[in-house]
Amino acid sequence: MATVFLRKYLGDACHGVVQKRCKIDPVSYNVGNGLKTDLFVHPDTKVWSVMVDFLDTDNKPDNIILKRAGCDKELGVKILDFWSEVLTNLPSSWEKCSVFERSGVQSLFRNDAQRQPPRAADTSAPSKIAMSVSTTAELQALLDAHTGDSGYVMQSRYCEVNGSCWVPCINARQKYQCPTSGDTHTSNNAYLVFSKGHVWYQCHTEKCAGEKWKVGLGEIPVSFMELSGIAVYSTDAEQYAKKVTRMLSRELLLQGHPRSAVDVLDVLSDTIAILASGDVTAEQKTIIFATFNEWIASSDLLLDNTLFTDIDASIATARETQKKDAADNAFNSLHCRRMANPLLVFRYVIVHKTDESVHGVLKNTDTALTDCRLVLYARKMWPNAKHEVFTFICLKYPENAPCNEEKFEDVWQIGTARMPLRQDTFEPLHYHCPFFRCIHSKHTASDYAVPDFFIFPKR
Amino acid sequence: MPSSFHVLPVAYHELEENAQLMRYVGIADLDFDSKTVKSSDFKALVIEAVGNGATLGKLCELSPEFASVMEAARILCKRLVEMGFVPVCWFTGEKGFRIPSCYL
Repeated sequence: MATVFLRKYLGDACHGVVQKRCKIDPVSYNVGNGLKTDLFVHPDTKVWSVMVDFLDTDNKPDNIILKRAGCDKELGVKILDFWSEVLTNLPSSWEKCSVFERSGVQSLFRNDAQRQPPRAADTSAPSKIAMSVSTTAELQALLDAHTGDSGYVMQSRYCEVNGSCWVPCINARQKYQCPTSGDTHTSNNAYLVFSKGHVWYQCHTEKCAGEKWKVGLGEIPVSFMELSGIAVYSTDAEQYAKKVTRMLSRELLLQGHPRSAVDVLDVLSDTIAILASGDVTAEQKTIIFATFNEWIASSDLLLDNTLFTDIDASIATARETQKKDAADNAFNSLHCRRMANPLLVFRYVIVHKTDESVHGVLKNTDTALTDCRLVLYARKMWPNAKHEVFTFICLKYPENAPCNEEKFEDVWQIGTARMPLRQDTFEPLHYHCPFFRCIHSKHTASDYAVPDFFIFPKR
Repeated sequence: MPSSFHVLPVAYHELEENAQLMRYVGIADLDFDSKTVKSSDFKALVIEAVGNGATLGKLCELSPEFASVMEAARILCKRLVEMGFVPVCWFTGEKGFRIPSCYL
């Protein structure tokens, strides 16, 4: 950070005191490499970066133990919060900003060829999708488990093109040990790729060419499968059923309440189409239809029970007659319905914000546009986080009946349709997803991505 | 976890004269001066302290130079709070702290 800038914005007094006590290192930006942040485990001391919150009285230095098993997740979340804040709170004058002409200023680009205007979208170009902190850490752990001190660090984004995914690795130090050959390399040519349900390390350096340059690191983490949808169409029927169960139940849980009988039948039809894409297990059916029934019960609609009989036959018929892409289309249909009528509305939809922990989702929920039926979602997703959810409800919806601990307990235990709410919160919530607000901003689509919740499986 | 922050590749001092800076996101890197304490010596100290289950506070006791850097980080964070920011500060695992912040 430029000294003059620090001094100007912090003031001479503060800058002077800071400078007296330490060295303010220049942190220069390198095109392509970005800024060195030291957010990982230190290569020499093996100490993970750890957050020091000087405002938090519980976070005193005496309470911060240096020896850590992994990254400081809270720090990761804070960093993501920070950048989300930066990107979502651009000044209004940003829209009027014209492109900065750099005449007379030494270009940071090597030549003009590298300054070509953006080209039209190229479907063959890889898209970069951010991973959550925990997913990145899981992949890092797989590599570390194989080669403890490789020196490689996972990037927090994975690339995808035509259904194939890979995660670039960078070297955290000047030399690093290649898990493939054991050789020491000095360039960045490593990737994690995903196939046959496993994560593979690949080295593309010249040194390793011709060698067996692929090393299996273990099974693909569930969190990555969910993010990428990579294993949904696995040939492993059991895995497929589990995956579909989780994604479909979550999709149903996030649906806004039913609007009409036709609406209910549409959702049922989509549910059947998705289930018919694989072998249905008893557990899967129980979970899905319990969730479905709970969703129906969240409205005051009086529905004829005969509509829901003989589900098995309906699934069997669909399996025989429906087109190959029926499950994809059904997921898409459910997704679109939720976009128009969601149970939860998120404040930030930049993928960096994605954090599926109870803390992350509650914090990211726009409580002005989401009624406290989010308890119905929370109880399914985080059954052990009752106290945290109750505290959140009391804080954000103080006038609602579920703030009564006894009634909240009822809702938590049985997911009752008669969830006690203020009458006005029963009004249908018609709003557009904030995602659409974002894509109207100056950023390109690749700057934003939908959270995990909005991602449905791909082939 | 991101390893690097990619930003507009225009350094503050490279902006044209009279250019209006609307938003600046920077990262402060505070370290103790390696001229006063050898980096390798401090690394050894950290490794030993970690092995003994030390806390960050203990590391400050063991190294006044490091304690001074942490105090600087605290002062900087306090100032940023006064300016209305919510700074995030982390110990980098060796001799310093990083503090990103943005300025309007």
